[in-house]
Amino acid sequence: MSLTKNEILNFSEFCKNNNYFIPTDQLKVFFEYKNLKNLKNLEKELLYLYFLIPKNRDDQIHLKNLINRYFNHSIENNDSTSYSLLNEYSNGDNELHQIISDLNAGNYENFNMLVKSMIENFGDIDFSRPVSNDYWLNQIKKSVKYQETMMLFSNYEFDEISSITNLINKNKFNKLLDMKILEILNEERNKAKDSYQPSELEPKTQLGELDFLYTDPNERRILLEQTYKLGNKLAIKFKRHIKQASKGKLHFRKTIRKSMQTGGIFQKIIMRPKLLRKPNLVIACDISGSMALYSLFGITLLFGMVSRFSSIKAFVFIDGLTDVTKTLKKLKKNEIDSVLHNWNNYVKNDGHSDYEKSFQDLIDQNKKLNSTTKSLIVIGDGRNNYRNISEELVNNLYNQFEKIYWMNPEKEKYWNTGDSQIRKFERITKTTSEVRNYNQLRDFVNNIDFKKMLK
Amino acid sequence: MKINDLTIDGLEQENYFATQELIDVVNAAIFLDKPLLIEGPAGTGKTYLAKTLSALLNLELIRLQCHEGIDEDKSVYEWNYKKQLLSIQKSEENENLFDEKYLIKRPILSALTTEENSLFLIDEIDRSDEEFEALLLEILAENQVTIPEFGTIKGSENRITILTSNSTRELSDALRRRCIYYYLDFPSIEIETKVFMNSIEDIDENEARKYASLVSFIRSLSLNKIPSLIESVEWVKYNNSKDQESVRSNLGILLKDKSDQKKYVEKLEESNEFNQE
Repeated sequence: MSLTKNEILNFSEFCKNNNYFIPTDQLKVFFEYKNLKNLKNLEKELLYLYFLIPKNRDDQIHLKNLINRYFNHSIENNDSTSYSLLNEYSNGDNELHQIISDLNAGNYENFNMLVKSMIENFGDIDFSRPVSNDYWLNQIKKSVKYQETMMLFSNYEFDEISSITNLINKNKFNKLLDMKILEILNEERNKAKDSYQPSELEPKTQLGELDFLYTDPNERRILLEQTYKLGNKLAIKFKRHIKQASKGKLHFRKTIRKSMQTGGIFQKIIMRPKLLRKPNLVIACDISGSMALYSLFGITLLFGMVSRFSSIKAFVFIDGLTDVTKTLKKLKKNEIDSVLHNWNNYVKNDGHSDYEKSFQDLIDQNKKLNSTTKSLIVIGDGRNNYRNISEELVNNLYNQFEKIYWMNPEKEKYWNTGDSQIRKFERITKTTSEVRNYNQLRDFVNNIDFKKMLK
Repeated sequence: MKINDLTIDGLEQENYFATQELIDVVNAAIFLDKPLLIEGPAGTGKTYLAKTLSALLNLELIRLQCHEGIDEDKSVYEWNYKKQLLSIQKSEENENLFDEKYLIKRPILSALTTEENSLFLIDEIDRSDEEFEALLLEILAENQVTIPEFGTIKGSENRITILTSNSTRELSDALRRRCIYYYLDFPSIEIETKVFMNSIEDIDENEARKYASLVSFIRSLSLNKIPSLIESVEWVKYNNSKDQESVRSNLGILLKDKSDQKKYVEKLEESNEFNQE
């Protein structure tokens, strides 16, 4: 089977609908290669579609997922799925040795039998109960059979290296087992009538679309790394637009030095480069309780920006403002969450977020430093714990910062409900966007137009 | 340039262990005659790939190491002022001072004009300034370079171009568009095992595999500085030669950050506790 031109065009349309644009000239390269190499195999063609079109890491991952969804064909991952078979496993009862060598050989029959027996042995599972699959998974985890299976890994004596390998094997096996149980549970529950599907827990296939709140530590690590890079990108983006003509005054010393080459004749005149204006930007992040995990991503973004330029000021606030620029600079990349661990250092009053007080501090600080900074990025949900936000403050904020960009981690449908006062700020911001996952964050960063920001 | 497709075995003869994916991409880049942009963390064998290819295909390696402030004078060409001055003093009238004999060729120009088959490596392009990227566009897309006093110099066709980047900076879309892109990540356990077995004497496969999965486990901890392939090879080599079975010895070879070492030791304790349960 081979791809036709129409199919590719349909796929390109499908990508466009999913926020991924395939440039025409890249498609041309693909067709050129396909014709020259006379590719006839669908698998190979998809592989080259994946290789030849995306031009950076983000896009590559995105396209991989799209191909997976559209053609129902998964492009193989580099990750090794096989287990290391330790010599120690073959001592004693051979059960574990058998399981693992079966899995390594790609023989899943026995493994599936094991999982099925685990579920059947559990007894009555009432699938109509309105709880998530994860609930049943946790119940099964408590069963004797499950515990016994996992105990297989701790029946042996190991030296130090092998014990870590064993632990890796165990974690990998555990993950596989849980996934398989969930899969079978899902099947069984779909058979039962009116099976309950909580909407939020539906698995998102793409990491970029996954809500920050529902990430597991591994996914979070990947996303935080990308968020850090986005911070760098945002800072550099600012710098790029404020670059002016590169020629300044005459560089006397260098000109004389250069003329030595030509025997004292001035052939080349050297100019001093014009000093670059540093990015003047204030970014403030709400780290109160209602922000939950989102503030971790906010601070990572702050960190990414601050580590690039000293002139960017970073603040966190709860019920008062704290300058964290210097704190962040001292930190290393994997210590960022220490800001959140020292949460009580940033509490000024009662620990409930107070936007009025915080922004008043920000305005005062800006005035005191006589700063010319006109741009502000706020990460916050605008929930003020039923305290008032006066119109005067909002106006003052606008007078102080003309360009305000707001990232709100709350779902848009909950804005302006309860104690949310985002409406008051929406009036003065350039953009107010919902940012709950990586894709939204990336779009936010990409859409900020600093060119308009500078007069 | 017409070259037969590369294979895994071919590269392994030159002691380079690669995935089929990477080889497919390299083949496509050579076939389509487009530059290959390899991005990835430090120490995964990006530069070494270029060196291996040049050895395997018998190509002359021309390398341009990028750094901050690299410009046209250092990378493309420069006029030889002294020679020009001398020729003026010899007072040969009507002498054209902008002739090829006064031209000093820098890596890019010599890569374009060399007669032999060559491999042009632009190393760590992300270290250079954005202006320099713009300079490369003409060379990468049109295979030519324009010198105002001299005219346009067309490049020869027998050349493979490889760009490497550590992604410390986002490269511009214009540059990316002209290249074939590949992200080279840290090696998988299989490949690292092969590397260990190849570069370390008297280590058996089981042992190498154990070490490789240990190193891949270390990389999965969130570290400040992830150990590169060379570091892991050195560490395993030293531990193996001294018969030091402990995984705590000589950590300085592998982990070069105090908090990383601490984190690693903590994880070891955890796994010990698990095994004693």
